[in-house]
Amino acid sequence: MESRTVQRSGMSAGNDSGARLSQFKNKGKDASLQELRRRRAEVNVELRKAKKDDQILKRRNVQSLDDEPTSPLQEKDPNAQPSQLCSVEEIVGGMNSQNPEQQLRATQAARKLLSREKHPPIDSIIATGLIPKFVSFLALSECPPIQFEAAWALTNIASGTTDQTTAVVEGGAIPAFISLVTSPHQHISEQAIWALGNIAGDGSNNRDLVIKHGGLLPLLALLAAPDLSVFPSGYLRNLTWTLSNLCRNKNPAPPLQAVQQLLPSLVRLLHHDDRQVLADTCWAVSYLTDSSNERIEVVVHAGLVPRLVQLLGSGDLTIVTPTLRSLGNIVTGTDEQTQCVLNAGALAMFPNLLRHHKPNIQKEAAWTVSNITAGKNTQIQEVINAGLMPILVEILQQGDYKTQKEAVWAVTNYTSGGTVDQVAYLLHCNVLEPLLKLLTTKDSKVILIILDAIYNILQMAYKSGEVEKLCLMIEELGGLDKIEGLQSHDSEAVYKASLNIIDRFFSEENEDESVVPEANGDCYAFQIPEDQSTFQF
Amino acid sequence: MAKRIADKELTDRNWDQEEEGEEAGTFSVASEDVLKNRAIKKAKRRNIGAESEAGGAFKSFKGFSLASAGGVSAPTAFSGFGNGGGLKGLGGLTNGNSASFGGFSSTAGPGVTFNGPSSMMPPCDIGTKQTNGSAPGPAHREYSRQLTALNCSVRDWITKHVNDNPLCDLQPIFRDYERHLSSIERQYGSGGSEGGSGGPEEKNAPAPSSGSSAALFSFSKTTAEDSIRDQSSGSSPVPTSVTFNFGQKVDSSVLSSLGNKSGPSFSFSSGSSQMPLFSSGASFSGSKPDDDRTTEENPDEESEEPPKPEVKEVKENNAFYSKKCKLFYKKDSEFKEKGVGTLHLKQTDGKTQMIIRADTNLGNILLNIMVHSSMPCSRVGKNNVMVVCVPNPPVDDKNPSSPVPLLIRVKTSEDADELHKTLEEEKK
Repeated sequence: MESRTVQRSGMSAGNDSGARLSQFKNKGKDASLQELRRRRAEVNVELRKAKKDDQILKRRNVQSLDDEPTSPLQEKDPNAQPSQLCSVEEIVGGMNSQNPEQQLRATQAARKLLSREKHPPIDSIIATGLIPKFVSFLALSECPPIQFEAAWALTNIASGTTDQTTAVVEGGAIPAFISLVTSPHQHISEQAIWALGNIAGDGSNNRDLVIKHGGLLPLLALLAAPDLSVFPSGYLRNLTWTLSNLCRNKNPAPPLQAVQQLLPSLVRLLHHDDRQVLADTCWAVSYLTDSSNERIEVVVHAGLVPRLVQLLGSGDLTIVTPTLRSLGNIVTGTDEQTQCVLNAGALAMFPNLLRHHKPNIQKEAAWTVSNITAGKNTQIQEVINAGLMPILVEILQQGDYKTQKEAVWAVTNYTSGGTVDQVAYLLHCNVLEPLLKLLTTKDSKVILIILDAIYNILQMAYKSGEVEKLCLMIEELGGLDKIEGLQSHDSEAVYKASLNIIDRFFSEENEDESVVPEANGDCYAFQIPEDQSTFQF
Repeated sequence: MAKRIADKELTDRNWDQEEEGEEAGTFSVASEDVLKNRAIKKAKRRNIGAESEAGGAFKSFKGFSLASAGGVSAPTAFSGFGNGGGLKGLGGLTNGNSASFGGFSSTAGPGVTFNGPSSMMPPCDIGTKQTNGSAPGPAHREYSRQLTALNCSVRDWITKHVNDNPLCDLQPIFRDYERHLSSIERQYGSGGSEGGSGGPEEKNAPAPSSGSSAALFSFSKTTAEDSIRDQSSGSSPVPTSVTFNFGQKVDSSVLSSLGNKSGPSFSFSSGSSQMPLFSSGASFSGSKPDDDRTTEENPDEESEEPPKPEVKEVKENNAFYSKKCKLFYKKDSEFKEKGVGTLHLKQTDGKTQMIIRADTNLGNILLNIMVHSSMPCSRVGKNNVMVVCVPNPPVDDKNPSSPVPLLIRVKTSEDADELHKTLEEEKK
């Protein structure tokens, strides 16, 4: 399954334009170049929104619709056709010529073709077999323009399907791009980072290839700068995005060692103040925590949790979403890992999160709580102290259905791990009525979970000698009718579970509370001869 | 209680997609075949008269619930039969309760006394309605009483069954009503002083499915539990005997069927309460009755079929001994219930056969074995008899021919003694 992202903002307005522009004759055109970039950035943003449904998750560096008013190169060559894209054949011709200028022109032409908005001819270009050529241009440090154009073109090819990305990889692009990360020209460095992001984001295989080729170190070295604000925001965002793609994908997850190398940088980024950087870093953390407890441990150990909890209260949906998912993932870990989240004060955010206007946030919040109530009863106590149970009951009464399902889980886990007092408190919160009402749902899995909860509560009441009251209550709330009726449910498991409850707690038997002996050892109300050896048949 | 990982992958791409809404829906019911093979238990209701706890549409029935019907004597008198209570008595289920068939005259309240013997017994003499010279005067009074009783019984029956299953088909009940009404007319109506002959025949010719009609105002089928419940409420017009003392607040509203807003107070106290948020004496508020009855299928499938009496199982030919019982079989180290039914002993070719037939509409066989001389049989506990044999039908499909201890539980210890003695005798 691909992980794909869509276009994002284009290149930053590098303040290294001086170096690059010296390649061009028209120095004075730097204003228009910046203008170009700005327009490109805008167009990219629009494209991103438009392509939202496309699920294209790599990012193509796209040309704006109107071609640039002038290309520096065109001015140079009067024979070049102004604002007209070359054909693929022409590109092939130019690339294969021995003439550096023609090659540059052809590369740029390819870049333009590949940057056009609609249906860039990626496969056609691949079919020309030119990829290795482009890759070779990446190394031409004496000609930064061609490095840049080639990098751009390859980035856009790698933004396509897995096959297309693989074509780039097979052309030897990875080590070449890794080298370019340290280019003295920031825009080239940025383009290389972008390309690597596309490649890594393609899937576990290509991601691990980037890592194997030593892609991590130069990227992380960038973040060794004492102050991240030296970077243009676009550059930093690209870098963060690429790092997040290196954390992405499972089966397999990124190598543990790579993760350990990445984490300090992620911590740093997590303390930066740029919204997009924060969001992408949190996405990275969410991918890393969506894994085994061992992986969760690494993240927790890096000390990320307090900052995550802080961000949880940021109120910015683009940040809250991945942060909540990260914390939700962490509490699927051990009790200790869960405790870390609690110690950081996460629960204080949950009244708002559980009532968030976005159903998805509500759902994720309820899911998170359900995993906390699956923990120790001291942790359940923290949930209680945070005042969350009445809110869960609210959700059961009238929430969005997906959120309700999570709330049901939260309640059942609670009844399973809670103390007698805690369960009594739960009843005091009037959980029974909405819980019983949900028994009419068509989802048999949910029914089973609810029946589980009911059973747990009854069992607890029984042990406390208060089961009669509870049974009466269940009956009065119409729950008994429902449970009885569930014996006719399609699902055998539901039938059994409901039968079991009736049998154990609502049995018609007048004498003993439950005729069928319980499993607590004290079984037999009647004497039964144990020796069956005397029976002959 | 495990932790659960996220069910859906969340990424920077899909996080703000609109998720499709999901509806709760309602559950699907198993097919008839599957249902047939299931042992479905009827739950014990503690809140007597709380049948119409489905608020909402049924709130209007509040006044009709049995508990509050205590004031009216006529219905009380007949509630025992009207809902098949009398049938149960006929079926041999002696629960010592007042409203069993034998006692209808006395404990059934001030109702009508029927002379004549236990004419309610369908398998036996259905020679009911020996009206004993009821003169027009008393007959007219009698007629009113009968009609009132009939109407109240119908009302109660309908109430109860529609509450249980709003989808039930009420046609059979109206047919019965017609029948009963015409018999009343005949017997007590316009000067009918004799009406003996018409009556019994009518009643005597039951379709096999409605053999219960011998009992007055018996309607269709009800389950045993209903009758027991009805009997107990019938026997005590005012359900004050049913008090739930929970130690804290005894809220009498608990006793009424509907609309008890404050339920019993609750606490699972376990020593010191560390809960700052509530005290153990706090009562629950707002335990409102459930008022959305979604279209659930009645677990009691039989309500869809034409009314059938309970006493069907009594018709066992050649049974020299019959007893209502509950059968258990031993599995692993505990006893599991096989079902409730009637045990019959029959003689065939000098051998004794034990049949236990379930008290359901189908009357399926719970046990059918020959009584061997070597079959272990012992008296156990207060009211049980235990035997060991190879059960037929088998209880364990993996070992269908290995012997299994079976426990037969009967109502009283005398019954158990009797059963045990009988079995021992038959073994010889």
